This record gives sequence, C-alpha cells and structure tokens, in this order.
Amino acid sequence: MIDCSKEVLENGLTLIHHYDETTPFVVVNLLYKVGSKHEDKSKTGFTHLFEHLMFGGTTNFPDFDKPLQEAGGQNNAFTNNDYTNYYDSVPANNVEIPLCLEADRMVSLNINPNSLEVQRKVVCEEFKENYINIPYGNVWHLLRDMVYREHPYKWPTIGKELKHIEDATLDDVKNFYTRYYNPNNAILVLAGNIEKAKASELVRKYFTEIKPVPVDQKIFSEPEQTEAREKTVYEEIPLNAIYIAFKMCDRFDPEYYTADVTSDILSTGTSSRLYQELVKKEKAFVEIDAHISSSEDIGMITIEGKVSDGYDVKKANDLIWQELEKIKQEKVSEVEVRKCKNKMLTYMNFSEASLLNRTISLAYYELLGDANMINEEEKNYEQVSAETIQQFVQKTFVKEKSNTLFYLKK
Amino acid sequence: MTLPEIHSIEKVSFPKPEEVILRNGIRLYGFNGTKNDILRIDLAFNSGRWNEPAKLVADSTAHLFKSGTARMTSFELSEKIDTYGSTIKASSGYHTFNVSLYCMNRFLEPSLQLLKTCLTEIIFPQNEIDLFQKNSISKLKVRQEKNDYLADVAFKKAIYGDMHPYGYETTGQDIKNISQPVLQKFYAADLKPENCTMFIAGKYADEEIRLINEYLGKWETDIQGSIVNRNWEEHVNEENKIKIHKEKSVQASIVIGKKLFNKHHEDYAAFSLLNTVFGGYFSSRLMSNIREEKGLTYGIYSGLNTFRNSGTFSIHTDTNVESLELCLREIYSEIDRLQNELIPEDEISLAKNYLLGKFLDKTDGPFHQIEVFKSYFLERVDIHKFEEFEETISQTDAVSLQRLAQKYLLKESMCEVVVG
Repeated sequence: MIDCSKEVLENGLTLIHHYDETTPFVVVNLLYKVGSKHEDKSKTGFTHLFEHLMFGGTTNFPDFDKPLQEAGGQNNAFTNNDYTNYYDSVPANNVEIPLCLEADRMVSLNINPNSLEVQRKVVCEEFKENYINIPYGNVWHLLRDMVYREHPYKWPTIGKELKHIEDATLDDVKNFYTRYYNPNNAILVLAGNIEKAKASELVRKYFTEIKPVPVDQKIFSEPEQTEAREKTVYEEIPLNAIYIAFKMCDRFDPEYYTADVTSDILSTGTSSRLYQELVKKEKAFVEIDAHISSSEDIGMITIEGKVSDGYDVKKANDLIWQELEKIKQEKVSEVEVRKCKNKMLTYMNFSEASLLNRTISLAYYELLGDANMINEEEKNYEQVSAETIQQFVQKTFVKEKSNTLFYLKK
Repeated sequence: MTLPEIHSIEKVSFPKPEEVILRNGIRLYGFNGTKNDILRIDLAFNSGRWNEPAKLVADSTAHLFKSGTARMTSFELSEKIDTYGSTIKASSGYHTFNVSLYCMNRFLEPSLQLLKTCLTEIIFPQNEIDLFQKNSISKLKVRQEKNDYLADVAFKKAIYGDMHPYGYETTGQDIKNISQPVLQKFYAADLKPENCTMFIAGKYADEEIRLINEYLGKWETDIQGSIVNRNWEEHVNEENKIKIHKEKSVQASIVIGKKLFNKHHEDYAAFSLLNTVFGGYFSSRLMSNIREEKGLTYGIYSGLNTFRNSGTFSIHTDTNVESLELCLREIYSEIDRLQNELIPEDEISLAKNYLLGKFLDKTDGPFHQIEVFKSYFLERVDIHKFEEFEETISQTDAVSLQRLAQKYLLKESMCEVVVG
C-alpha cells in the first residue's frame, strides 16, 4: 500500500505527496502532459528534443544540473509518446533546491540559438547511436508506421527522421514552451522524507505565482484495421527477424491487464509457450518475445523473434501463427494464469522498494486519472482469467488485423 | 530570484549487517527492513572465470543452471519456479559464481526447495547444451555487429591478453568447445557449501532464517578438494592504437584507457574524485566540452572498474565518423588540462558533493546496502573502507588531484581503440 494525498493549486498544478520516513532522500518528479503524440507529423521528435533544452539553463540560473549536484542530488528525464517526465532526487534537507529549479524552468527557460544548435547535434547523435548504427535499429520506425495510419503513435519518440530534428527552429521551441510547459498541464509528485504540510507549503512557495495557460486537449483516433499489412526489408544483419503487431485496447480499458498477462503467457521466461514450442522444440527461433506497449491511447501487442540460421522464414512465421491459433482455440490453463499473476506481483513488489520508482509511478497513475490507482493494480491483475484471455486473443490475433514485418538479411 | 541555501551533505557510516552462520558453516550477511514482504537471497561462490578449466565454462554453467535434473526437465523446473512468481538466476563474474533468488516471503519455502535443486541436482542434458550452443553463437553474431561491443572487447584483450580471465574474447569456437563432463565437474567442484557466502536483503524474521537453515544449512557435499587459487599471466598488447574498420558505420565507438588499480590501492578514493571531475557525471569536463559545448556525442563518460586483483580506467563514447579526429583531440586536451592546470575549487566542491550524495544513496535501504556490501566483500575490501573513502574524498585538494593526473593519466600509457 502506497499512501498518497492530492492537492490542486489555484493555478491548476496538481501536487501528489507521498511520505516515507525511512529514506534520507526526497524526490521531486515533474510530469508534463506532452508527448510525441502531440507533435505535428512534419516536426516529429520535437518533444524529446525539447526535453534536452530544459537542461540548458534559465535567465535566473545558467545551469540546471550543477546546483542539484552541489546539493548532493541526481536528476534525469525521459520522454515517451504520451508525456515528458523530469525527476530530481536530493538529500531531504535540500528539498528546496529542486523545487526552486523546477519552478524556475517552468517559466524562465533561456531559449537561445546556441543551446538549440548544440542539442540538435546531440539528439542527432542519439538517433544514430540507437536507431541507425546498430542492427535492427529502425524496426520501430517501420512497424509503428504500419500499425498506425492516423494516430501519431505512427512515429517513435526520437522522431521519424533526422531531418525533422535538424529543421527545428527557435520559433518552434518558443511556441512549444508557451503551449505545454504550464502548471495546469503538469503533475508534481513530492515524495520521501518530508511531511505533508511542509511539502504543500514549499510547493506553494515556489509554484503558486506561475500563471496557467489554457490547454487545448487533442483527441486522437485510429480507424479500424480490416486488412493484413505486410512489409519486407533487407538489411545488413546477422539473423532474419519477424515482427507481428496487432492493435489492442488503450490503457484505461480493463482488458489492458488481460493483454499484459497474455504477453507473459506467450513469452516470459523459459517455461512460456513460444519459448518452449518455437525455440526449444522446433528450434525455429534463437529468441522470441511478446510484449505490449503501455500507451495511453490505442496500444499494440507485438510478437518478435530472431529466426535460427538457415531456418525458412515463411515456415517460422507459420509456426508463430500456429501458436496463436492454439491459444485462440484452447483456453489457457489455470496454472499458466496463476504463474503470470504471481510473476507480476513479485515484480510490482520489488519495484515499489525504490522511492524513485514509486514517485514516477504515482505521477504516471495521476496522469491516467488518479494516483491511487497504483494500489488497485494487484486487484486489476487478479481479475484476469482464462476466459478474459480467450476473449482477448480471439478478437486480437486475427490475420486481417495483423501487421507483419519481415526484416531479412541482404 | 535567488537559489535557497544549499545544506551540507551528511556523511554516513555504512550500516553493520546482521550475521548468521548456518548449520553447515555458510556465513550469511543480512540487511533487513523493506516495507514489502520480499526477499533477495544471493549465494556467492568463490569461483567464476578465475577458476575455469577452459574458456566460458563458468558462464555456460550459469546459463545452464536450470537445464534439468534426473527427475525434472528444464521446462518442469522453470515452470515450478515461475509458478511462485520467483526468479532464480545464476551469473558468472571474474572471481565469483553468483546465484540469486528473488521471491515474495509467502513463497520462500518452495522457492528455497527449488533453489536447492538447482544447486545440487543439475545434470546438464546434452540436448540443452546443444540448444545453448546454437543460440549463443547466433546471439554472439548479433553482438559482434555492435561497434561499442567490439571496442570494449578489443580494449580488455589489449590490457590483459586473450588468455586471461579479465581479457579473453568470447568466440564461436569457445562456445562449441563446451562439453557436458566439463560443466558437470565444474558445477560439482565449485558450487559447494564450504565455498559459499550468502547475502540476504528484504524483510525477514526468525522464520525466514529457519527456512534458509532448513534448506541450505543442511547442504553437505562429499566432493573433495579445495579451490586452488590459480595464477594467470597477463599478456599485454604492445600496440596502443587499435583501429577496427567497420563498413558503413555512421558512428565510431571509442574506448581509451589503461590498466590501473583496485580499491586496495592508496590512491583509489582520491582518483575516484579525479575521475568524477573528468568524466564521471553529467557535469564532468568530458560531458561539458564534448557533448554540451560541441554536440559531438550523445554521451561520454570515464570510469574506474575494479576487480579483486586489478582495475582499469577507461573513457567511452560514440561519435559521428566525421568528428572522430576532433573528438579524440578534445579528449586528450582535457587530459592535458588536468595535468597542467589546477582544478578550480568550485568544480572540486561540486564533484565532492555529488559523490557524497552517492554515498548516502548507497546506504539507502536494504537493496542498495546489499549491493555495496557484497561488492566490497567479494573484492576482499573491508566495509570500513567505505567511510574511509568518503573521508578521503572530502579531504582531497586541487594539488593532489593534479599530481594524480600527472601520475596516472599519461597519454603514452593509454591504449586507444576505435571501431567504425
């Protein structure tokens, strides 16, 4: 059980407080409700580029990291399709340092050509390091573009192409900052060794003066897929690979938990179905995995495998489908369901041991609607059954709704 | 707007672990006190690469640690472990063969029973070995397409030589050479109670310790012979510039470094501070200059890697191929700067505070504590050194840092590897 309380400031900033007296630290986590799905399709990758610029200093303080490190702290940030998240961990007696710095960079960011120029280059190197210069690096670029026709999940957070990042202008930066980096578009979690009254007082001290700006909520949609999509690419890679993706529900649907357990039944651990049948018995794959995207809007469940050297790719693909047909026809066993639920429970329990994990999760659940949902997750997973799984796989694993990428050796 | 006052960071002493000796003499160190009912139990065997009869034997034993017993196939064994939501995994370090169990307290008993099975009954079936060899060779081919992997391998090989446990490169042939009798013998000889130290973290009371004693305290083996402390000769590569060409690379991976020392050396703590200033954190000189000023890379860092008998210092980065020369020049000029100019006070104070925050973090909660305690213990460094290092770091001044840079960062002593 993770205790937390909520307060909304007059300017719309949501504050979640969580007390833990056993740690010498506090974590300040600031989540902005802007992700790569809010980008224009001709300016992708911008949300993530902007995250880099948030570390470029403000008109008041030239450096964000240094005062935090001087205070014995550590900090970082990440961006995904749905939101951007910044976190700072400091010894509890220095809690005001991150609060002051975060409040300051919400209003006074020093937007300048030099900072933009340098971070553009840094992000281009990040793009190359993780998506170009490594085998299979561009898979998600290709696959997302097949699965989504209209929804901005079409492109990965890093951006569709290097050129979009290279073309970012100072005006883009200014407009984006004004539009999204506002108290009423943010969730602040203050957690750790600080009592509630103190937390509220300090957050008010630094954030209360910041003016809200109206946010226009975007609604995203994606048409129903009715035909199988298939693509084959040839690259310099050591092993052929197959990726099959299907759309699934959004994060708010109770079916999400069923989908998560299903992906585990298929592939988590060496006792899972796909491993046993396709890696072990058939030796068709060297490795195989099934996973879901935990995005807010319409998600995807993907099966991906690297085909054994010399094994026929079409046959390997048929074998995946055989397994999918099998799980559609015969209900999974109680043992399989129990096993995956227990694994999930263990995972959640271990993850909660870290204050930083707890803090980031609280912000995420508040984004979904209520930080307290974090305490409902165990119950939500408990409701998954062999029946809900069968319903889910029967409507999801359908040829007409599949997106298959054959990633083959040149 | 002014920044609030920054309070000084409390220096911490490392908490003393609880110590229990199991019936068969295994020593168990414990850190208690998580909120949730969870446990991590580690068994560290004095073994690992250092003790291998042939390359990759320790690593392969770890991979095949749940490969089946006379009464249970690998599937049955894994399924049982998974049923409780528990994880049992083995890994091989340079001097240690590690086995870890992660579980919820309510499944401790069946999990310990399965752990015991993994420790005593594995028969390494031939079909499991065949599959492991086939898939490992394929996965190796994928890794070998990555420039940073190749650079790292070439660096270690250059420092310690291709026969040394710290230096050898994994090859397809080494994987093919693995055989059942060799694995079985290594498993039986090295994984025994008199060769084991245990660590536990999470939430436990007498009942948990009783169960551990019940399943692991009664473990006896009749395999004779103690672990021989072997000596390995280092074959140092004379070539200190290694260039590996990789077609069509858009980025080059760089590793620059040298053999240095481990935590036993008198300069260890002060050098850690020097390393922090140089490339050990986000505000380091390498990051500030090469990423934040010039945008040549997504990341650049340096670090001191310590092992029981040695240690290395190395700088790592990836940069676009066109900027390679500039990037190298800048790395070396940052070394020059450390040797030729005193580091300003505020820069030293920043790095010190950052490290003090890290020390505090290392004592925060049982899971951090077990990590630190275990790594000191296995490197044979007294845990009291933790406080000594903290103290030395706070005392170190600009003059000593310059002296360390002059002594240990000589450019001629560095080995430079570029893959791209």
